[in-house]
Amino acid sequence: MIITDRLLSDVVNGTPGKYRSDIVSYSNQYPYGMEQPGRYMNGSGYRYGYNGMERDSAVTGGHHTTYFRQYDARLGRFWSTDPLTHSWESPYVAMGGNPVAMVDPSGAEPGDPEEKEKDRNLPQGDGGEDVTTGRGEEEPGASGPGYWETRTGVFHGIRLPEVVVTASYPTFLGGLGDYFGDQFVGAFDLATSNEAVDQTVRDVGQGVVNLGTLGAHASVAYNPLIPAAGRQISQDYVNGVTGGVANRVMSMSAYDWGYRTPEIILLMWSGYSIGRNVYQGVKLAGEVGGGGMAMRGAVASGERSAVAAAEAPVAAKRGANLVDDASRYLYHYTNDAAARNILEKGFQTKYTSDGFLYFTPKGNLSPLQAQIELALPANRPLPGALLRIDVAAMREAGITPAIGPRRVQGNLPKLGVGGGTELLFDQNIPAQFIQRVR
Amino acid sequence: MNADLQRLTIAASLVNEGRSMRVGDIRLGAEPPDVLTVTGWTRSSSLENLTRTEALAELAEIKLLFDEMVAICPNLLELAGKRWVEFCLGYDYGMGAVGVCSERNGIITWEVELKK
Repeated sequence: MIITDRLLSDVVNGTPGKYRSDIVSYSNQYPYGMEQPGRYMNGSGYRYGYNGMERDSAVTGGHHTTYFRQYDARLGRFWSTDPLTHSWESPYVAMGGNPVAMVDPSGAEPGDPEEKEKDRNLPQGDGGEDVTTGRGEEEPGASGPGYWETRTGVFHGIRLPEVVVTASYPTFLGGLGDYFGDQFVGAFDLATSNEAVDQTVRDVGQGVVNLGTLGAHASVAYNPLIPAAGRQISQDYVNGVTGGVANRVMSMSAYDWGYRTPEIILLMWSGYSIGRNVYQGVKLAGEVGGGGMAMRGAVASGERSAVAAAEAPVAAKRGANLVDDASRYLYHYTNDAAARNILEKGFQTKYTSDGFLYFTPKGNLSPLQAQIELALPANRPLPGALLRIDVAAMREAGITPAIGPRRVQGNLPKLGVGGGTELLFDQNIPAQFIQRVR
Repeated sequence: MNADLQRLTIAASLVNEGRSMRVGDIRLGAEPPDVLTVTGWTRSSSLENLTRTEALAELAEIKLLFDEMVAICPNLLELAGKRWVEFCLGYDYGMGAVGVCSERNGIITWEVELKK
């Protein structure tokens, strides 16, 4: 039941007698949030519903928009996969299968209701508190340890010793995106607006420059980021890894993303893990395409929980994309028979249905994962063969992607396929650049 | 001008500029210097189950379809008259496609080994 602050007085004999609450909405729900027929009321256009999710009755009667995904209360399932997947449950499961004890208002991770309460404030953010609490000081006017103000797009930053997080213009931020082969790549896979948006992550400690590209849809950016932090950087000690350590991603709602893109996008807060892990020689720097938008991230080194200071240099603006700058390899999933042909003849565009060849930076997908994430045809054999192309060598040969990176949008609406990243080539790729790795 | 003719006319124009366009079940493309590629795709879900006979039948379907297109689109007919026409049968698996066979000037080239 939703009650406003407004109280309605009952006037008795000319004087207020008692107050009645102003009920704007109530509903009786089944465990997974579907409203029971005839047992709900929404008299004033109240926008929110189950778990505090925003209702979207324009789509279906039980449809809810969460921070990261769409939830269908009729099914008790999300429509797309979980940005934080677990091996023990389906990525579509809602509330961990326990709607009585758990909530999942953001669509990312179910949890205890009290713990998850703060998720509702993600756009305002609670990022960075682990790294900053007790160590940094707030910028004047900041109302929390550090957050992006969605209305203005201004980052109310934390001033760490010698570490400044600033951005006069909202934009992205950085961190570790994914693990490709033997290199870390700050692949953020955020955004793909028409203009190229780059994120540069420089690992000064190792002398390695890892670059990523920003891409398009805020809601999907969570995917490559969080798993990267959770899975590949699970050790307590990481040396020379690109910074950011993408534990915190904050973004605006899908609505805001779509209509207020210039204002802000994602914040991958670099501090979260520093409180519990040790990062040495980590530096994070980023400049986003268009110039003038930079985010310099925190750097941590030394002992546990110690935040070292090193202002990361703002990397030179790079107009290149992921392939040009970051990843040495791209991957192509196909079946065995086709793989044998490709290894012999190379990739040929003239046989494709749209003139493009599709590649993904992810080389660690299982055949089934590849079929889902890359929205491959269901009426083809599982893509058990994995081909790797040497991007650096191709670049030297003048073969570069025509489009990319972009998010895979499934061709089966509402079934949750898609979500991976792909780059498209419109040139033939000779066999010499191709290697079969599976 | 009906929609089919309009689309074919656009396709002919794009191919003339060296680009490609999909029209119905085939894609018209260009290969330098003077080849018009007409590509279709096998209906077989598995390349290993496809036979040569089936592939040739599907290639013939592509040719027939192209003939029908040429018959209604003068621009395409004119384009086909200026270039070599290569009919291609591909196997599309989602991230790309591999060639099965192609025919240019009556000569069949096999890209994969198929069962008889």
